[in-house]
Amino acid sequence: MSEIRCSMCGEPNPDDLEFCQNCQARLKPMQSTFESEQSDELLQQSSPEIQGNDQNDRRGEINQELPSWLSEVMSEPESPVEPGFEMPEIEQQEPDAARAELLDWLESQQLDEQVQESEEVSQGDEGLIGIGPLAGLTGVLPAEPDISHIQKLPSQSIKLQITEKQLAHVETLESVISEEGGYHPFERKPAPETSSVWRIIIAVTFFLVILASLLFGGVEFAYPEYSTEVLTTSQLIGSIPNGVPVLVAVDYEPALSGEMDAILMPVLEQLVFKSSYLALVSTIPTGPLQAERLLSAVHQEDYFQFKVADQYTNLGYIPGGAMGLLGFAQSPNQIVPLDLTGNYPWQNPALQDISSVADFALVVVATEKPDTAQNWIEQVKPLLGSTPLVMALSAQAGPVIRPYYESSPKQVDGLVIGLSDAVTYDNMYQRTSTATVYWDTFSLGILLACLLIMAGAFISALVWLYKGMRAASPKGSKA
Amino acid sequence: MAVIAVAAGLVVLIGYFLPMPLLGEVRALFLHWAMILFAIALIVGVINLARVHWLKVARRQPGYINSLALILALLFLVVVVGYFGPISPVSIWIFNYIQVPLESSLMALLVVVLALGGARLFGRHLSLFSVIFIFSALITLLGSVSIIGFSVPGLDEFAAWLSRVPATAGARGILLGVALGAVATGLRILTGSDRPYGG
Repeated sequence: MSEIRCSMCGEPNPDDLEFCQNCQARLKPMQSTFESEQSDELLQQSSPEIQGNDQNDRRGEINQELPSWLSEVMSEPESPVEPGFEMPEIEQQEPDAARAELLDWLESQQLDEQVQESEEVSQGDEGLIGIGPLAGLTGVLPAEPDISHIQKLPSQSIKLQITEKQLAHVETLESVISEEGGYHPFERKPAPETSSVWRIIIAVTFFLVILASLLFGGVEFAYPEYSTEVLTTSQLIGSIPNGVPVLVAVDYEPALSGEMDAILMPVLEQLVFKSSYLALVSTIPTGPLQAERLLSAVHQEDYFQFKVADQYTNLGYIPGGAMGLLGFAQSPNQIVPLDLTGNYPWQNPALQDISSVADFALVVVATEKPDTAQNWIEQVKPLLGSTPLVMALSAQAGPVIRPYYESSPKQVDGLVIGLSDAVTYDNMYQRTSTATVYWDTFSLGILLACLLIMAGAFISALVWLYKGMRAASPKGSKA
Repeated sequence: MAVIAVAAGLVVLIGYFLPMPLLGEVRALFLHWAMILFAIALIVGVINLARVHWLKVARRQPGYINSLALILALLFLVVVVGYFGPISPVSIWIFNYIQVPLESSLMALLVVVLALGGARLFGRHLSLFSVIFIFSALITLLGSVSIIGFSVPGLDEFAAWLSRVPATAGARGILLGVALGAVATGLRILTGSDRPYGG
């Protein structure tokens, strides 16, 4: 059984079917019953002239009269016509009279053209008009019945056609995305072998040397020279009037209290000496207790005659980090309405005129974290106006904050960095605070650490070189 | 959610540039709310911490004794500080003689660890950068102390130069990078591209 390929989906179908088995598209042009019958009659009338034996005789006569090239064309076998093909109706309805007027050679050539056209139509009948006055013509705009012809749309595969390389890329991307949110256990690298003996030796050495220095005294170290930032800070504090309110932020963790207490103490002592009224705040929860601890140490110094109850208020913890600082700088009495004792401190004569942070005479921030110092500089300093901002920083935070001090205009007006600056501050006022007491022991510890590092580095370098030479030598490589 | 977040951020940001009283009041209100939320989050965090360790104790998971100690200490502090007040002598005593020594001791262990690490650095990796690292650390440390009657010419000046020029230059670069990162992050949140709040 011959087959017809569907013009829509390309699937082969049996010859006798009218619609495609795959996509239900029409396989044959649609014809009305009347037109079919009429075309059959016309075919029967014209068939004796076209298909009869006389035609061969007539062609033989014509061949004798025609040129040789035309005879070859006519002698070629006729192209096969597919069984399902129907002759175009417009040709079939051609009147016999008109056909009789044509020359025989032209008639035969016309037949060949019809066969050729029919082949083209059978190969792709997408433009073939099935019904109406234009039925059988190709390449013309379809009439309304064909446009409104309802048929099931051919099924199209929705599967994305991609290459293997693209598929590999997709899989890679999917794996990256899935791994991003997934749980990945750390690859446990073997811990470097460290002899606990060395740890114990270093710890015992530090302990014994520092303890001996504290108990029996030891090597005396020279005090550090004055630095410009310490001089500037002391001049700033010295320039404020006596008895004015000063905001002090105690923003360091208890772990760093050994260093930070010693750094902040000389500044606090100078403020107390000037009878400044201290308003203590903190942006870390343990800060208020740290401030109390620090002021109790100042209170123990008899020569200050520090009256705690009259000279400070502890405003407590400011939550919210940078946001809290900004809010406090704008309206401190709204953000912190009560102090740690539960009283309203803003009615105190020293604080009753405070409506913003700029109303304080000075702001002192003590912290060991660069981030905390930056928060104060970025959130509070723009609102300070002419009020100076002084920072007491640990040695680790100093290099990060120093650019703010060295900028122009200064964003930090005074700096006290590390124990060495605190000792300098003490020496300027001929006092002996915690920093000065620590200085010799602190310096001895640093010297000891340097000696241990240098000795260890020297020995380690020798061992490393020895291993490298041994591995490079033929004997060592064999071993 | 995103609309609320972006609008709140824009109001606070515009308040910096336009000194309008209304914007200032709205900005102050937002900041006040944020601080309250932050404080509540702190309390929620403490409650969650206690809950996690309580479940660990209830299920007898490994190390539950430590969790039990944490819960008991938390309850003790809440009762004592709540009864006597945050700056009472009892509270100050607990802070001075328990918390500060514990944290300071942990920090002091760093001395041993860092000294040992510096001593063994060349044994693990001897390179130009490790040599520069150890050399810079030693110069800075030695430059900060000086024995009376014993001084190395130029050591103090070189140590000061190290801390003021290369260290400050590096810190300045870090600050610029952090500032640019903060601007980019702020813009991403203001435009809704980044939504850390979800939604």
